[in-house]
Amino acid sequence: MADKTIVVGIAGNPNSGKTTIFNELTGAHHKVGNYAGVTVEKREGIRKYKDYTIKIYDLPGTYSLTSYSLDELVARDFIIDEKPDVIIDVMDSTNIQRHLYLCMQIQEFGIPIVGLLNMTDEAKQHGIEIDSLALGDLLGIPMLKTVGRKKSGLDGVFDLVLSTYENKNKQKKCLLYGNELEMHIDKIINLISKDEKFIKNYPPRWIAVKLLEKDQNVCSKLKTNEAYDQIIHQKDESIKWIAGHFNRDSEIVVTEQRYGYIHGAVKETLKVSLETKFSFSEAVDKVVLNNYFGLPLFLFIMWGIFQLTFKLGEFPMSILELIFNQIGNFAGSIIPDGLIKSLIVDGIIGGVGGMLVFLPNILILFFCISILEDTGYMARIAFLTDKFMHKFGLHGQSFIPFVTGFGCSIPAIMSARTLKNEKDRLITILAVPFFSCGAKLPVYTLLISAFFSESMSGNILFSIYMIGILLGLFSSLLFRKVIAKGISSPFVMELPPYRAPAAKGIGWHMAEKCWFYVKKAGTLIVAASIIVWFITTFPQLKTDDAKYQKIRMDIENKIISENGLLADSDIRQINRIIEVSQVQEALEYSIAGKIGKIIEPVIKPLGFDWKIGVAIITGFAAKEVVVSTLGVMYKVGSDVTEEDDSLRGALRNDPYFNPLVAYVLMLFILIYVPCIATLAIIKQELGKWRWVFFTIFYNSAVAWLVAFIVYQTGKIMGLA
Amino acid sequence: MNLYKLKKNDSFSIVKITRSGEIGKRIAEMGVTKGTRGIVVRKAFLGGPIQIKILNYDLSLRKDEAESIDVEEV
Repeated sequence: MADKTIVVGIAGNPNSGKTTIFNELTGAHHKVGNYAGVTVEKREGIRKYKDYTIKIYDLPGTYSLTSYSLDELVARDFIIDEKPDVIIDVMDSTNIQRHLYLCMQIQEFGIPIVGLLNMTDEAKQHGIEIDSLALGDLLGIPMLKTVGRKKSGLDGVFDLVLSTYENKNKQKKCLLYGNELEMHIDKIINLISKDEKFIKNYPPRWIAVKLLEKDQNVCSKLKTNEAYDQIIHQKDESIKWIAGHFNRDSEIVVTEQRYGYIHGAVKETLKVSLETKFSFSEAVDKVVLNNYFGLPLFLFIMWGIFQLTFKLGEFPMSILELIFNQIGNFAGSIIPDGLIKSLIVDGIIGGVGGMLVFLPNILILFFCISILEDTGYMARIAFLTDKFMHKFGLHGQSFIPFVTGFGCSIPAIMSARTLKNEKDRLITILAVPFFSCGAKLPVYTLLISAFFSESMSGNILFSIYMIGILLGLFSSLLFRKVIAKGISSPFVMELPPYRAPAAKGIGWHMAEKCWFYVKKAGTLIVAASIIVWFITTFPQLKTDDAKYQKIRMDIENKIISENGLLADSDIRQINRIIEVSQVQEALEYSIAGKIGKIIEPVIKPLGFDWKIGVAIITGFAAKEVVVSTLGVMYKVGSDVTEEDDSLRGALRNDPYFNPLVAYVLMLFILIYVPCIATLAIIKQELGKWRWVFFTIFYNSAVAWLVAFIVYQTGKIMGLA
Repeated sequence: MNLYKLKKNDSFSIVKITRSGEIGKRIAEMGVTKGTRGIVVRKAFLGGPIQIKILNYDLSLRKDEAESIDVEEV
């Protein structure tokens, strides 16, 4: 017999152990991508079983199949468009009613279902015993008891899937909504079914029920139906009648009827043998969600994660930096001097290396976040912080990306995926760059140590960070009012029981994150690095050797006339001066330098000259670059660090610089366009260039405005 | 009486969700339906979220969402 291919989707609520089951069923043979056009992760795996090739898809975890959230839309579009042969629905046996709610909705699509009553071991501890055969018979869904983590019960899954598939025409039961509703459902089904072509694509009963639930998405799907006007008319009539008859909205009535049906079925098949008094989760929550200890404990955990990410990550990061330096040096030694060398060594290796060195931080952070999510602590964080975050139009779960943003915007933006509502996620991602990242710290350190006394430096630094936080929060509020209108997503959240994280799941999760980061951002980074290299390199200045020869002679003569002789150290000093002058002249001549000159009128009201302009432009590549550019522009050399006293001195001695300009520059660097790697991640995570351009424009505008106000106010107050 | 008026450890039976649209629907879909019984597990202070146990699981709601659920004490 020839091999047959069948498509199986795995559905289930969040926290049902769905992903563990998926991993166990597919083994190592799965790949991760995104559903077309959205950042909802799509996992698929292939398994051969008997004569069948089984393609398995892991659907997003959802509680329902309305069209309110992206996850739900993705899950149901998958069911409608891909027409899977069988759906495996994973349910948590400890609270089977809520899990059956999704199951009943899937059944309405007319697709054969296999129900897995998962976590039966936990249910047993709760004294819950489910008669799976009787429940299966009652609902028309074959059920199997499993414990995903212990791999128990999984052997029979494929057999059940295949037998369900082969007997697909026998499984014809469906949930009944009671006489009153069924009458209206029938009326609508009759109208829908007039269009035979339409019902080939969409199951009419499902459409009818969704119409009574006021589903906008289904209404628009219906537009292709010939009887559209009649259907809509009937729908409006029915909704009105139901609301009047039941004295509540029809979408609520449908939900209550569904739950009523489920409660009826469960009553007959579920036994609770003992009342459990002690609950481990409740004991933990007594501390974790305590009104007084909860928040401090959370902040401490957050601090710990932060330390782990950036302190523990420092070591592998420095190794990676070393490796990329070595690669750069090696490439530099075998490629002849010239443009190609500069492109490869400075542009590509420098740019890609600059991005990949963050990989250890990202790994550690995602390891920690996976643990927070898998244990169930993430939901508690939302519980603790929601009150505060809600004031700014945000959800409790935005807290993690914001705090992570102090380390690096890239993992912070990626971690916003824990937010399930698209608008919440959009706002959070756009606000993250205001939380001052680690790469900006060298700039602050340099400027603060050059212009402020030691006793002041802590306050100055704190004020910069605080301004960033306030801008982030108030920008969120603005975004909520203007670009992502509407209320923040409802806070109707399950607090799942605490569970030990599954090592395999976390391993996969981290591997996936890394790969995403390297692949997607990598391509953009290469392109962007080449652009920055290009504008700082071209047009090339023809080195005027005679001019520098003359400068050299002048200095040498001056030193000889003063000291009578020329020491080795003097020669080194002169070489350095000459070299820096050449680099500066080349940079001034380059596109970046010209842009600096062009934008000078724009940044003049902020107290910046064209030299600072060039530093701002090169800062697009990465914020640390601002320091080395200032080094070049102030003739100190490009290999300076923020601790280098010569640059501090040079800045202090520059007539243009003063404490006010330094402070305004820090503010500007804090707020303006985030680095290219961050922009690349924004593109990856939000999918549209629109948001990249929005970030560039909005952040620059805010930066300019804030800098302008502070500089002009300072000047009036006589601080300049 | 609305759910938020209850105190810790109070038992209740759900009467009706008074909010329509997405929020009302979402609340109902989590199992907050007529006749379902539950208990208040905790309330965060200063008008923070409320945690209830229904259908053998823990559900948290914001104050204004909890206020849109009519309950009777049992």
